[in-house]
Amino acid sequence: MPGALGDAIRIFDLFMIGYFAVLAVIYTALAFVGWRSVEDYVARRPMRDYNWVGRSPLSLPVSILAPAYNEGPVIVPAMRALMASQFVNFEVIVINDGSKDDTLHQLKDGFGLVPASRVPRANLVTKAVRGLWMSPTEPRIVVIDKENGGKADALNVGLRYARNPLVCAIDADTILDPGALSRLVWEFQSSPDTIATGGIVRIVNGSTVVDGRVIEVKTPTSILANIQILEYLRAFLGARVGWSRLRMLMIISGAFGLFRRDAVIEAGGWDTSTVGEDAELVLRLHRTRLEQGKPCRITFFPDPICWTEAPGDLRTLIRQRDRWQRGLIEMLGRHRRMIGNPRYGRLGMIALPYFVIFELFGPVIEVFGYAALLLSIVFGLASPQVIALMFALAVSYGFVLSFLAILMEQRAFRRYPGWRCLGRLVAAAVVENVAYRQVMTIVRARSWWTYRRSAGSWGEMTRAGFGAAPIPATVPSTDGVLLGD
Amino acid sequence: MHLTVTSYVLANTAATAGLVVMVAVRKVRRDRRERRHGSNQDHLRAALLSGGDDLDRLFRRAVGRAAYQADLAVVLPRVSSTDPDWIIGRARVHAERTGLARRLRRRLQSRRPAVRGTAAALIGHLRLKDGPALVGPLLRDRDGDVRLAAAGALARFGTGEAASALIEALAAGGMPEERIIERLGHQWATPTILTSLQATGAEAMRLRAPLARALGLAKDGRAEPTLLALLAHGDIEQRVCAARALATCGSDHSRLALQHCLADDSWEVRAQAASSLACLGAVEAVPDLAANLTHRAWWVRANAANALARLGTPGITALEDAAAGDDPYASERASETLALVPPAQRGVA
Repeated sequence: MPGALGDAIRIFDLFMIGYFAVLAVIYTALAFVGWRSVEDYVARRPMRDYNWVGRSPLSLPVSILAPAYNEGPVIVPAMRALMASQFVNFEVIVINDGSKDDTLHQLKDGFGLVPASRVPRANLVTKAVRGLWMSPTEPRIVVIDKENGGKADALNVGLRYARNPLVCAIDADTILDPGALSRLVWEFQSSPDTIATGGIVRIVNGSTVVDGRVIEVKTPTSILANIQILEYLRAFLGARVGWSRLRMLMIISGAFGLFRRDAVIEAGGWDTSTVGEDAELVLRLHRTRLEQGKPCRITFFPDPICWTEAPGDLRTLIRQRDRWQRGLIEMLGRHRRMIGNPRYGRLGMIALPYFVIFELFGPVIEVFGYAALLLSIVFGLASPQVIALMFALAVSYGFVLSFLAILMEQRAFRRYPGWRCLGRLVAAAVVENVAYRQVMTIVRARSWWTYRRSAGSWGEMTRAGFGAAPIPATVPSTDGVLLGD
Repeated sequence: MHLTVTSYVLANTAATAGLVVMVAVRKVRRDRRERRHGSNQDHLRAALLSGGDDLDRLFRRAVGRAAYQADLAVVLPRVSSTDPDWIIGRARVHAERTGLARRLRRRLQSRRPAVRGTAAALIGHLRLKDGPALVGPLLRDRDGDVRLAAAGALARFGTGEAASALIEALAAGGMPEERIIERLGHQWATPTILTSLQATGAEAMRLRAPLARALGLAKDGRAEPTLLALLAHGDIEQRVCAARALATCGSDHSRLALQHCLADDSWEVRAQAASSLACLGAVEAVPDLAANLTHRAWWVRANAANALARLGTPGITALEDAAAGDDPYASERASETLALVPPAQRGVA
């Protein structure tokens, strides 16, 4: 073993120890702030009258934008479930993004649509609109058919035709809790500076869904889906709540976010040339407002719930995570001028550098760390005790974060009330450290390569659909992204 | 070395087991708390409805515990929907007797916003005698949630004093206007609002539009003369708000005034007048509404067409005529509106 290489490996090992120590401190701080936020939220619940916001004719009306691409089997029940929202002052704009299946026919049959017209209210460049339909029986639904242009383009079309001051971007196949909109709108009504707010996204796999409503919440039997549930809990209740509290929230999930329409139009709408259009928009909103010197409050609300189906097999999951990471690369690349720039305040000086170091390059650094560890073992550069200790520390810390997320969920929301559900989540917290985390780290590191090859590609998502029966369990496997998303 | 690796594994296992136990304990405690709250709410509900002596015991329990106060805040509005005065009155007597009222008054001074807000909400539910004077200052609280809770509490008192405090908050501008307007939108607030609308000066002028909106929500016929005056002499925003409000409380006088507005210079007033006439069922306005189908402003055409669709057979007939007519704008609007008329309504027509 040459001395220079040995020294290099030793130095890299020390760097990795420092890197993980800093990361652990950041995660702990975020978890602590998140915990305090959730506690505050729970304490405030008795004095907040969300039902009033839902019923009041003066509540800010919402246009729900639901882009649909090949959603034929689920689109009508999903839209009917949206109509059952407790919030009364809204319209749903379904944008059929040139689906190849019978999405448009399903909508026409389901709602008895007739051709209609509407004046666009924003000047955004989008793919051509083929037609607009409305329903005589359900006046709150508007269907727009357009040429295929991707989710961001579909959202921009919806934005052009939206009439209400708030727009809610959702995925057409997601399920909103009946009270979810009222709670998000509350955030806008209590603070006029709010321009965007996001709600928690939870995984519906395993739960019973009837007529587009989640009737009974249960965790699935699939270990892969349980690990994703845990990941979502960690990411939303830990990281996002924490970032939101620190006024540095950079991501609002594309599955469920509420925006001030004028602010989105002013920022130029959703970016059609990135796969991470949701996070990119939030960062652009920050940037636009900060450059204009306008107030910019972007928040995360831990309670309004949107249910979504998680990938049931490893292949789909890998494609999804690859897409998320590519989205992050594009977003940070595009807004690199903001990184470390004091003009953008704490966002430029704290949040963006964190994302670059720990989320963008983190997976690559971790993969090199694993390689260095292996080389250290092979060349006898580190004692097995030290390696075992490092591994044990990393695994224990992962446990602590996962258990903290479960405790927070139990404290504040208790959506998984049964012992069996809790047992599965605890088991997932243990199992995910074994291989899942490492596999996902490699997938995210690999995204640097796939980013150059397939920019703009979404990949296919295989859906089981929401039926009367629980979504079936699928391939057992395991995860890796800590507090990411 | 063997011992060291074993100790690592043991330590890790122990840590994991500890965390699992912590989660289990948390779940057990949470389940127990949920059950306790459920049972407490059931007892409160039964005691409030029956008026039994149990109420004293339950209220005393709530004196020192915020969680029980929250239970009371949940139960009170639910049970009082049947016979509010009787139930609230009795609850108030028990709250004063047991010291709960005194405790709530003290909690309004708490440093924690959630405590202040919840106390304000509960004082509103119980309608304590000095409530408006106690809760009113919280409309200027530094915490937004507390301000909203205070507005909600004041509205529950339903007195002129509460209405005055809310109007002052509207003028101060510390809260989104809609949150105050919706609380003022009840008949108990009408006299105070009408008095405020008589005031002159720049600030009073600024309040006219939101107060007109509140009158619209109140659906109170007493407001009609004032709203008609505002419709005739206000600025465009005030006139639009007055026209909208008249849709809920207007009589024949309003129908006539709104019909005149269909020839107004302002397209905003015309569009709102069309919608309001439909709400009032003003069939006599059908010809004027049909004439507005050719207006240059899309919103006027759209509102006129929608109003015609809501006015039954004469309106539908006017739309059918417009759809077959020469004016392309009127024809397009009328055709689309007709297509969107529900089949049952078309059948009636």
